[in-house]
Amino acid sequence: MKFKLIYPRWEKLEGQTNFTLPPHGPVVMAATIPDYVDVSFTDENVEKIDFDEECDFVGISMMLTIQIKGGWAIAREFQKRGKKVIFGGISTMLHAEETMLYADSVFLGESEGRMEAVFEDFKNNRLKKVYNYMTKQPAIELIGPARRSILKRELYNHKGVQMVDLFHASRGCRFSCYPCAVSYLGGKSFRPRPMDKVIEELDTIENNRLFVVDNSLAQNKEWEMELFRNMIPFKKKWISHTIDADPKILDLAAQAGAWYVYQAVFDTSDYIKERVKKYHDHGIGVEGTILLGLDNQSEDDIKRLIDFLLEIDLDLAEFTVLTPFPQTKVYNDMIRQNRIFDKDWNNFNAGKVVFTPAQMTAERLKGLYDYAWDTFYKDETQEQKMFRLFSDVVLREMKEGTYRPRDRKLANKSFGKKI
Amino acid sequence: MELSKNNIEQVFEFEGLWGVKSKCGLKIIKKEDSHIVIVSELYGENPGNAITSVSAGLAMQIAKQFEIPTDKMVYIESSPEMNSKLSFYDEEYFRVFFENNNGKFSNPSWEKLTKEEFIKLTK
Repeated sequence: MKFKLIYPRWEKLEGQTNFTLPPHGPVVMAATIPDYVDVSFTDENVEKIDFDEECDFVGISMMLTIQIKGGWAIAREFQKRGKKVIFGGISTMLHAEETMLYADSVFLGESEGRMEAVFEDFKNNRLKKVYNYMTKQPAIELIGPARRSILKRELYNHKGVQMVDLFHASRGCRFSCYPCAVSYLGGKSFRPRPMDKVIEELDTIENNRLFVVDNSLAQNKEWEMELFRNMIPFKKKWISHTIDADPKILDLAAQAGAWYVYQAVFDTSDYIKERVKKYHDHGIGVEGTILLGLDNQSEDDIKRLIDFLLEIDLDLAEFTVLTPFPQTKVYNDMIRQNRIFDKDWNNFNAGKVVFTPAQMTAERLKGLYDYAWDTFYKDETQEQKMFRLFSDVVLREMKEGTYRPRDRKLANKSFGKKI
Repeated sequence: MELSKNNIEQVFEFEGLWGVKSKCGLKIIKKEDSHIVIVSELYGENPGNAITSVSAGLAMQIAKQFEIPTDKMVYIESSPEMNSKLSFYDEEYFRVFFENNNGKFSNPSWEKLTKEEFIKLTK
């Protein structure tokens, strides 16, 4: 049986670099598909979909709200050709009822231990409209190494430099942050993978650079330290979301190959300044993630925040506009206050303003968002700042003997396209 | 952050979207011609959906369990004080209006209540 798995395209934010990383959801899901199924994967961000490719069954995996309308359109094309389409992934879970209108089936939840039954149902022509495993998370031990063999590696390469591989060591989140839907999607408790499973998966990844995509590694200090201790022998360099700024943990993280981490910067406090300094003192870079448009932010607050970012010497900054994604507190608050004026999911890209801000007009907020990108990258562009971070990691790899030269055969290509 | 339980007399377990087990705070005030239902968000103490994600379904479940006629229900959502530095966790009250089709709620709309309005309505 041939299963065609699609990852729909989305528009990058204005000002964001055009680097495309290999997706994580589809390779994790593909690992749970029975062995007798041949999987053909298309990431529409890097290649066109061949709607006429021979296949028996189609899967559409969606991570972002801005993928869903594209995903629905793709489903329609396959259905016109007589194919059945199943949807999964986290934005399917957030938009399940709407997606059901376009799907032969939707899968809600985590797929480990469940795909055998789905494919049996398909084979026997009894596919269910919904496979509902919301909050019925499988045993964490069941998560095996992702099936990265389905990726076409050369499409995630820029001028001979391979993009990082995505990897996860835990699921769920014990924090329910105001703009975030993760606790709805992955449950409100932190679920670390057993360390032997983490090691088993790291062992399968050839890439020497990773993005550890866990929502937050800072959920259990003992586990975090154990994770870093176990990562040291792999000599990989990695990016991650926030980690604890405890010196003991940072020391282990640095030994384990921490390259740079994301850090939410929400105010101009000494707490943030010191935290960034602590990361830097351990040789770990920091990309600030800055959310603009919160109800407690005035125009002056946003301008002060941007000045502050330049002062604290962040390596990179990514600005986003507050976006009320379904199943978040911000969505519920704004629905109640009738403040969401744009309900086109294609505009929920965190670069457009879809709600009425509390302290300014939507146009002014968009203006400040543009101002933030322009001001932060005025003296040194995002590409230049990234190049600096990249050079740092190359030097570290050379020192440690883990550096791999760029692939000369792909030197004139960027994400599969000739340059 | 610490949840204020001022308007919570009991914890009500309900079925959220896709059958997700969820909890909210509940207080019912029986008046001569109506039942005032105050549902409160429990944040970290709720394993499932937020009350606003499932307003109509939750109101129906409460009506059924406590045998409240839907046309006599005054339904209020409360976001309790979380004693947080973050303004998004301040105390708030919303009266929720539903379309009522033969006893079935749908299409909620919200009207913000001031503390004074809330007190007057629930006195």
